[in-house]
Amino acid sequence: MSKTTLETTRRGLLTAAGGLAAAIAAPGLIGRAAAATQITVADPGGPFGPAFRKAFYDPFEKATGNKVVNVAREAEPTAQFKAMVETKSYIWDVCTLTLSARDILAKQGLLEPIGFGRNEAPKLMPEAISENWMGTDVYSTVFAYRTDRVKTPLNSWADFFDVEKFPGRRSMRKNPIDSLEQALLADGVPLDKLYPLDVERAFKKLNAIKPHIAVWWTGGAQTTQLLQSGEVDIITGWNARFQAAIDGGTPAKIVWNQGLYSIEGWSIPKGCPRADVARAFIKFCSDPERQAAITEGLAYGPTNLDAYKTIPAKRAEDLPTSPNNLKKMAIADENWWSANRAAVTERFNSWILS
Amino acid sequence: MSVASSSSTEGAAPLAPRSARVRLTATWLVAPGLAFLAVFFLYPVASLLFLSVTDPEGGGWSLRSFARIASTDVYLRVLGITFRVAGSTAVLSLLIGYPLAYWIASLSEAVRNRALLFVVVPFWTSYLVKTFAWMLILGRNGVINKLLMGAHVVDGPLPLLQNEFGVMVGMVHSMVPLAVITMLPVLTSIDRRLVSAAQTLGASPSHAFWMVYFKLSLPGVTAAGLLVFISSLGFFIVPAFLGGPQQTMLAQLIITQISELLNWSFAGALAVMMLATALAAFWIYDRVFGMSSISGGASVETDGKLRRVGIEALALLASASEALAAGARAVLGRRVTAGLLPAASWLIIAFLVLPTLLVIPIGFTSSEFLSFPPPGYSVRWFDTYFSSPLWIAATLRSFGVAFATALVSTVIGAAAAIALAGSRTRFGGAIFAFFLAPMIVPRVVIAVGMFYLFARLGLVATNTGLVIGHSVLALPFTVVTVTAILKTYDPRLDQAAATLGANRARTLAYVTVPIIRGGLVAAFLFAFITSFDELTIAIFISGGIATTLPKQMWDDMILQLNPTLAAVSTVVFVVVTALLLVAQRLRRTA
Amino acid sequence: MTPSKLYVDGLCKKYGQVTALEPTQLEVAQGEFLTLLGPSGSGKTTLLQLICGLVEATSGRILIDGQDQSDVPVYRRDIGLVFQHYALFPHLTVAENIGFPLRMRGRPSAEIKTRVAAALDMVHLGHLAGRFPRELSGGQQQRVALARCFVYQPSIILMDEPLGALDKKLRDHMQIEIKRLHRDSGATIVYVTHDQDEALALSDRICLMNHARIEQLGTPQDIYRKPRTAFAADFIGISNIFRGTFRTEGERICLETPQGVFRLPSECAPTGDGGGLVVRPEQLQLGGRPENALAGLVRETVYAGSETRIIVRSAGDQDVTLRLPSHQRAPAMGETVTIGWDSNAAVLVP
Repeated sequence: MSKTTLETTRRGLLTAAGGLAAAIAAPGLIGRAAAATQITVADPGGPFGPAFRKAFYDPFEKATGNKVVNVAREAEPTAQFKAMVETKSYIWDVCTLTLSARDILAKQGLLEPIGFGRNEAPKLMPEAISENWMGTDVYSTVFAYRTDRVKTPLNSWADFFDVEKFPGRRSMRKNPIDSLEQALLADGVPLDKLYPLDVERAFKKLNAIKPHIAVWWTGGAQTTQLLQSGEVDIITGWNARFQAAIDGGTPAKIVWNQGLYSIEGWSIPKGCPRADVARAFIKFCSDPERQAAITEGLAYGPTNLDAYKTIPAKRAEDLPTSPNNLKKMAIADENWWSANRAAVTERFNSWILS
Repeated sequence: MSVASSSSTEGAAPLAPRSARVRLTATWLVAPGLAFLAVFFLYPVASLLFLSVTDPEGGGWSLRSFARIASTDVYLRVLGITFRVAGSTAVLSLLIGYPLAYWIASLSEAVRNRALLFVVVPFWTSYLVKTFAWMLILGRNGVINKLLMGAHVVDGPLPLLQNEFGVMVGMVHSMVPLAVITMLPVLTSIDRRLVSAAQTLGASPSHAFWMVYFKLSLPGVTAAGLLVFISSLGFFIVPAFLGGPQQTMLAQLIITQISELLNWSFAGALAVMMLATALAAFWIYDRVFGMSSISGGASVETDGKLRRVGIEALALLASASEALAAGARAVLGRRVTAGLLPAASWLIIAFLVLPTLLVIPIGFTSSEFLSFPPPGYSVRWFDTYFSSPLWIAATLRSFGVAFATALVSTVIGAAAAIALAGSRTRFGGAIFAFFLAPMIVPRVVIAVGMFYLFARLGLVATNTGLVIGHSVLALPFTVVTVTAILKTYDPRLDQAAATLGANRARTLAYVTVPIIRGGLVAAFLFAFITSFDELTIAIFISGGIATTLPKQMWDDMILQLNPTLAAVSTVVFVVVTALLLVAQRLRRTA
Repeated sequence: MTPSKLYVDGLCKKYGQVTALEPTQLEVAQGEFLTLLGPSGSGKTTLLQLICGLVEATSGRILIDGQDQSDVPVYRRDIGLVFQHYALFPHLTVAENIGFPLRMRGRPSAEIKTRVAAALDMVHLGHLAGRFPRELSGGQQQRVALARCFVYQPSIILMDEPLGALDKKLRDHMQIEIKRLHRDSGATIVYVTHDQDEALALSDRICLMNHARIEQLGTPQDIYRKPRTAFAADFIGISNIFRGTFRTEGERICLETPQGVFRLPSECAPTGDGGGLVVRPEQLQLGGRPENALAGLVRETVYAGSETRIIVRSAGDQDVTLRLPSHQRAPAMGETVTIGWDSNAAVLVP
């Protein structure tokens, strides 16, 4: 295949990714916006796609005349990100990263600066912005329980770990991340003194609950399914997953108390040729009204707390960053995990097998 | 030969170029496959494995990753689990698949093709969908537990998930079709008159079966066992969703290292460990059963101690099963005993098909969730599917890519198989093993290595890239399938064609290909399925842009497990069944 | 009459609507060599498979030594079967193949060894005991198949076109081998073939089959000399058949054919409106004044060593074949000749 055809194919595909309709309309669009730049944004896919389009992409296109093509990124896109930068094939201009992914990539120098700071967006949560990343939404690691199966309401990690007082089939994540924090919180470590994690103490506590964990889950979608189908009664996981089950009619309750939140946000791959437009796009996403618009469809918290001025109070109850929920929680420390993840993961894998 | 032994140069001269030419033609057919794999498989994987001896921080040579593996027993234990699960899967798939294959092979050709549909259709269904179907069936509130508790057979729900049982059900369900499809060509090629002959010579049906039919079917059985075992090594979706911590498999750890911890060096080391142990198992397998049985190169029966021991063992099996059969006849009567095989076959078919069919009612659910039975019915999820340009684009791309993959890998694979079957060189076995290698190397390793290479070639996020990637994975299947069918091919027909004036190309086109057409169609279907159901490569190569159907399903599954998945599966199921029926009709009228 | 070894009583096989064998009656005597002869699809192989039990009869029964075999499975019947394509087990050596039936009968291995060796000697293959079937020639494979059958001395041996795949010379040689084996073993043999020469050469009796039933049963001489039907006449040997309608001429009944009006043989009972006169080539004379005569043009002469075959084109474009001893002068091509026969040398068939 010659280079020209390859290029044509690539462009055709990029356009088509938005959908067939877009592909049919493509010649017109390209003709009209000759001076405009098209950027490819990798979002988490699924329900994020339409929600982000409504809240970010369409308004950005309208405001700047640039075009945004969105694609779904992998759950942990770090490997692709790394290969993309190292081989200089920039298929994405902007990509959603978790804090841990950001730290791994930033450490290896694979991220481009986003070009603005907290001065330009003062109501952003302080954790939601760094030199090369800006948080767009906050998710929280909590637990939920089936109100039809568990009669006594649970209210803390200590309750989760108390299998005598609160019987029920339990499920935890098959990952040391979050599990260790949850064990320590259950063992009485205060929320603000979690880090650095006392690994020994955490595993000791985990030993106690290990025989009572019926399912070790691996993927987020699984937790919705587990809760909704009644496979388990009490389960750790991310708030939006449980919210989806609850919105769908599952009798369940989320326990926000002692939750650990984390943030997902935009980054630009190092050396991206369309970095300028990408930076403008990220800046655009810090707008509180834009962020409020996401929460209509997704139970994630805005990072710009001004957004709550326009979010209805009823909806705010389900969001991690609403003042009421936020005060019960703390942010997970990615720095500690960046340093210790490999070793702790190894220990966790060994522990879970024995 | 007198010419060759003569010292006269005149005599030797005409012989030398001739034999050289023969050798050239054989090599020529295997060359495209070798080159393809060298560039798109060996090179990427080798560069990744090279990383395993690179220091993750400083660069430079280092054995730190291997030292780390040795410093704890967790990786060896996971490796042990991986081999245990893959081994049990292979054994169970053969035990379940053999009666079914035997029964299908005994049917008339028209009926056989229809019965085969029941095997092929579940095989087409995505692993993701099958896994979720089993979650709904085996779960605490799943179909089985509801039935058992409703009938008051059990008081509480049985633990069918998150344990070895769940994993075995899921793995065996996925692998039985592979076993059956691999065994079938060998079984159908067995001359059933030999069984009659054995019986007229005084062998009871049990003896006739074990000492003649089963013995002759062993090449198919070993091939199927090997394929299933190797394919099972790389599973990660099934153990993750249906198993518990005790069923953690190595591929899961490798994926974690690559995609979450970004420690490619360590992932490379784990991959090396897996590869080395897989090759060791391969070698043992070869010693015990004979790899020759699968390569088709040297299917020649040789008189050895092992062979005689094998025959004695079969005789013992025959006597044991004869006693069993006699007992069964005495208890059940002749009629019922004769009906046992069809009954068992239909049970196995039900096991294969019913979970696949489960997705259909779920696709029509009115609920937001994948649950069974659905609380109500609607077509909203089909609406979601058909009105989504993303889904439709992914569907079309998947069909296109799968078709191209099937074409490429069948042509390359068949050529290689023909070359290998025709050659009797010492390297035949090694080359054959090389063609199987993409099955042993975990897909995620291939995928990452390939992504590295493709990014430099500008093939990421292109259909071409997907086709190349999928062809690498499909090649082992096509080579094995065509090799198996070639064992029944009489090479004298080539000579016959040559004497009738056909050159090698024409012989291939007018004699060899039409005769092995069944095998080629099977290889094509295998390759199509491999591509159509492939996720790992698609995740890396599609770049989120050139999205295939499994990738789109996976994306959806990660974030929102909703019945669109079931609706998509239903549509795919219908389309694929229709395609298979058409293919069958075409074959019949041809 | 010797007591019947094998008695086939009203045996019938249907596959759905298709009848593979009409209800059939057949008796085979102890030590007899009976050949089932017929074109393909005539039911001979079905009959064979029914006898050995590979196929289950739709109705009727089989008696061996007066014992009903209906409930006896294949492997317990005292029968040997030699297959058309030998059906040697490819995974067993020659010796193992021959030893297989003994092994299945649980004979001690020492006995198996000596009997296999004896069987191999019988077919002159002692030097190939350790080979695999694919390493043997067709004739050798056939001899292994025979040895495998004779080695356990079944009282009835069935052979399904065993020489079909061999060349003529080998076939002739094997026919003699089989005759010898038959004589030495005293076994009752039912032999299937579509080759009339083979049938004539080997058999005590021939059972001629056509359209799923027995056409004629008798000694080779009977069948050759007194075919009861046109099919029988045509299938065995070369026959000239003159077809026509009966006509009374004086006191005698004659047959009026396009080639002329011919007298019927004295011992025959004409029924219906017409029939055919069968005259074997060797019964035809060239020239002279025979009772029945016809004229024709010599179309072809075929020299066959001991004889010359002459094909004459007679009226109605019918070719008539006659045989001349080779010392006799053959007429030239295109010559007009008169040929004829004695009335009693012909046979009337319906």
